[in-house]
Amino acid sequence: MIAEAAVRPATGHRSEGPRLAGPRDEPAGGLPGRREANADAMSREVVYGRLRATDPARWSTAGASWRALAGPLGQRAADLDGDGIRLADGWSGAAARAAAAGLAAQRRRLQLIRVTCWQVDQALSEFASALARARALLDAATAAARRVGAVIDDRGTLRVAAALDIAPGTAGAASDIAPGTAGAASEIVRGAALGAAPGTAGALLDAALRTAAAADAEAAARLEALAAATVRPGTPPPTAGPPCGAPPADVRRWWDTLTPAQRRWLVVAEPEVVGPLDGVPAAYRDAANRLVLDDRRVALDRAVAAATGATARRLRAQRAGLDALVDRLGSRDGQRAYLLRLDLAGDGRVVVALGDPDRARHVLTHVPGMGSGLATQAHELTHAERVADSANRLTPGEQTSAVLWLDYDAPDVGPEAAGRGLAAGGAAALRRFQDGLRAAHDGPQPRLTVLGHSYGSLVVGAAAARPGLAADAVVFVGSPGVGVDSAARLHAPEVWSTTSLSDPIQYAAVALKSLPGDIALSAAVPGLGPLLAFGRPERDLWFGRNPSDPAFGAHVFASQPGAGHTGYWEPGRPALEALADIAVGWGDVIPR
Amino acid sequence: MPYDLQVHAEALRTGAAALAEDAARIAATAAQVPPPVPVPRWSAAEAAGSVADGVRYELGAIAGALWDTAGRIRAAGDDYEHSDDRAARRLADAGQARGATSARLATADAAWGVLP
Repeated sequence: MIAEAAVRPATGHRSEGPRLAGPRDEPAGGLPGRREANADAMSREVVYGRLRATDPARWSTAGASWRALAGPLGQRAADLDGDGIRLADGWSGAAARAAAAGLAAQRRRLQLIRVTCWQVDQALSEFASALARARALLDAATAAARRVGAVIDDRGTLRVAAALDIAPGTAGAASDIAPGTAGAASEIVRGAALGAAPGTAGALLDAALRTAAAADAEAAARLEALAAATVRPGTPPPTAGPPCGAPPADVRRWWDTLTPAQRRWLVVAEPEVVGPLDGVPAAYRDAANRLVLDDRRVALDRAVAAATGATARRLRAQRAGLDALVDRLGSRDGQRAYLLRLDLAGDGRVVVALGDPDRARHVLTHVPGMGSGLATQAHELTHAERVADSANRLTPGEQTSAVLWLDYDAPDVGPEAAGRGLAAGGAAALRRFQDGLRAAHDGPQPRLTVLGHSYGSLVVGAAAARPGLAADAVVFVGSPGVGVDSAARLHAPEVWSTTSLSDPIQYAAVALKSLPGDIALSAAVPGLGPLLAFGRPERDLWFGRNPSDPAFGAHVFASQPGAGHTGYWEPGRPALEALADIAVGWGDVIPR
Repeated sequence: MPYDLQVHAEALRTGAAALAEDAARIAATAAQVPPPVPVPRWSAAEAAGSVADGVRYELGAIAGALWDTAGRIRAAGDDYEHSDDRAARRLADAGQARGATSARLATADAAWGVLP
C-alpha cells in the first residue's frame, strides 16, 4: 500500500526508511530551508529533472575546490607580508610608510577574497548536503511507489503503472490517490494530488523536490550576495562592538546592524575577536578562525621545537591533533566542518560543527570527558559525526548538525577528574555556547540536544542545574554522576541516560558513601560477595546518583552490552540509533 | 615630521622585483578559480559563476595594483639615487665655488697687503 513507506512504526522503525517530519515539525509540506522555494519560478518538472540528473558529489567537489583556493591565496598574502618586512629593513620615512600602507591594503584585499572562498565553499557544500538528502528522499519515494506498482515519470509525477494490480480497498487505492484517478491505469496522477500525509510516496516525492528547490534558492541567494560583496572593499564598522562578555543575543543584535562589507572587514581585521564570539553566525566565525589557523600552526611548531621531555611529547601530540583537524576542515567527505573555536593553551580547546548549525533543523552538541583535548579531538569528532550521519539518514528532509564542543579544560586521568571545579567552569561556557546557537540561528529555532559523555555528563549536568540552558534535551552517556540526584532537578524538557552493562564507570566511580557497604558485602558473602558488591551497577556514583538508575528519573535507553566506556557510537548498534532518534526529537520510539 | 629617512636604494629595487613576482603569482592564481558545475543547470550554478567572475576580476586588480606599486618603488629608488647625485653635484660645485672665491679673496688680500 502506498502509505506504508516511511511511516513511523511503533517498533522496528529503522527498516522502514526515512521519515518526513517529527513531532515538533511543521505540517507536512513545510520546507526545511529558510527561503521558501518559489514553485512558480521553477516548475516541479524542472526540479525533478535536475535532481534526478544531479550528482551531489560534484557540488561537494566544487565547494572543496573553493576551500582549497584559500590555501595559495594565504601563501600570497604571506609573501606580501615578507616583502613588506624586507622593504622596511632598508627603507624608512614618509614614502616608505605610504608604500607599506599600500601593501597592507592589497594584503587585506587578498584576505577578503579568502573569506569569499570559504563562504562560497559553505554555500556550495550546504547545497551539496541538501541535494544528497533530497536524493535520499527521491530514492525513498521511488521505492515506495514501486511497492504499490506506481512509478515516477519524467515529469516528476506519480503514474499508477498497474492500477489494476492494486487490490481494491487498499490504503493506496482508497485513500492516497485522489478519487477518480486511481481507477484508470493510463491516467497520470500528479504527485501533488496524492495524499499529503507523511509516509506516502507522493509526500516523499514532494519533500524531495521541495528540499532541492529550497536549497537551490538559498544557495543562489547566498552566492549572489557574495558576488556583489566580492568586488566591494571591506569597510570598518562605525561603532565599537558589544562589550566584552555581552550575552550572545546582544552580540547577534549588534551583528545584524552591520553591513556585509563591515562584517567582512571585521573578519579580516579582527579574526581573533570574531572567531570565538558566541552569537556571531557560524559562517563568519568559521572564516575568522580559518584565517588564524596558519598562525596557530606556526606558533605550535615553534613551541614544539623549543620544548623538551614531557612537554615536547604533549605538544607533539597536540600538533598531530591539529593536523587531523586541518585534514577534516579540508575534507570533502561528510558534512562541511565549521571551525568555531581554536585555542592552543593547555591541552587545547576546539569547537567544530559538522554542517552549518545556524541552518540545521536539529543541532547536537557533544561534550567529551576526561582526557579530552586537541590531541584527541578527531576521535570525539567522529562520535559526533556518527550521530549526525545517522540522524540525517533518518530524517533526510531535515538537516542535523553535530558540534564537538571542547571549550573547557577537561580533566586528565587522575585526581583532577575527582573534582567538580573543571565541570563548573565548563558549564558556564557551555551555557553561553548554547545561547549562541539560539541567537545565531537563521530561521525557525532548531531542536537543540546536549550530550555529555563521561566527565562531560557532569559538565552538562552542571549547565542544566540552573534554569535557562538552551537545550530541548540533555543526554548522559557513560556517566559518573551529573551533580544532582534527580532528573527533576535539571532544567531541561527531556533528560536521557544510558550506561552499557560493560561500562566500568558505574563500577569504578562509586560514591564514597556506598564504598563501605560494598566492602562489607564483599567480605560477608564468601565467593559471591565481591561480585555482588562490585559486579553490578552502582546507584550512587562519584558525582551523584547514577543517571541510568531508574530512580534518577531520566528516560533510560538501552545500549549494547559490550560498549564499554567508549563504544556507544558503534555504527548500527542500539546506542547510536537511540542517540540519533533523540537528536531529531524522535525519542518516543526508542526501546527502553 | 619625524626625521627618520633612511634609504638603501638596492633594497628598494630588490623589493620591487619581489613585488612584481608576487603580482605575477597572484595573477596566475586567478586561473585556479573553480568553474561552476555546468549541468544540470541549477540557479546556484549561475550565481557561483558570478562570484568566480568577481574573484578573478579582484585578483587581477590586486595583481595590477601590486605591479604598479612595484614600479613606483623602483622609481622611488631611482629618484633617491638621482636626488643624491644632484645633491652631491651641487655640493661638489659649491666646494669648487668656495675654492675659487678663496683664491680671489687671497689675491685681493695680497693686493691690500693683508696677507703676509
